Amino acid sequence: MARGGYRKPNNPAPVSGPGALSRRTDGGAGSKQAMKEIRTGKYGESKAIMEQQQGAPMAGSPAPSPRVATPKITGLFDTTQRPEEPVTAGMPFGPGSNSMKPAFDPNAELVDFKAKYLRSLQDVALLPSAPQSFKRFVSYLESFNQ
Amino acid sequence: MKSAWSKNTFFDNFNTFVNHLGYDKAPVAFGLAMADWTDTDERDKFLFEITGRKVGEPSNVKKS
Repeated sequence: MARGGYRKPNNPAPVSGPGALSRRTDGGAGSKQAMKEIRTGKYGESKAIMEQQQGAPMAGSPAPSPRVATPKITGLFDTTQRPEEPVTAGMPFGPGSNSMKPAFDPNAELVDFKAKYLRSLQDVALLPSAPQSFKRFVSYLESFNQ
Repeated sequence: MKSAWSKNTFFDNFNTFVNHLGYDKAPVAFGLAMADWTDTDERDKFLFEITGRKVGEPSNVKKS
């Protein structure tokens, strides 16, 4: 291994110069990573590694993303942010938009059931041996409207 | 489809459940009727356990 003599500093400079001669030694933000000299015991291997690094510089660390300002959360006792909207808006009573659907429709399941199975149940109800209780239920389902 | 109504079949079980639980519980009755009941006694015992009423006993609740 060669010793002594002038050694060209790596890019970027390993040591920054004074004042106007100062240079970044970290490779710069968002640019390629600085090359690293890796010393191995084998002859010529360090040079080969340096050449490899020159040929394919590694990407720099990603630039930090700017912070996105979060909207201010309205406190419980703050003045309203929607002065034009009645407090009953969305409720099924009082002024304001009240078109909100109820969260649970107790008849929805039976409506669904009727749509799926009424025809089959009607067929079974036509059996002469079908009990009256079953026929009554099928009649109820036929006339059931939400 | 069978030509005659028989005991402990799907429709027999469904009919028992829907008449015991109420017409509005038809979807639940349908699901329960799909269970593999050993016999009608087992099914009726189950109904008694969950409702406190024997099968055929009138309920105070309106059917629909």
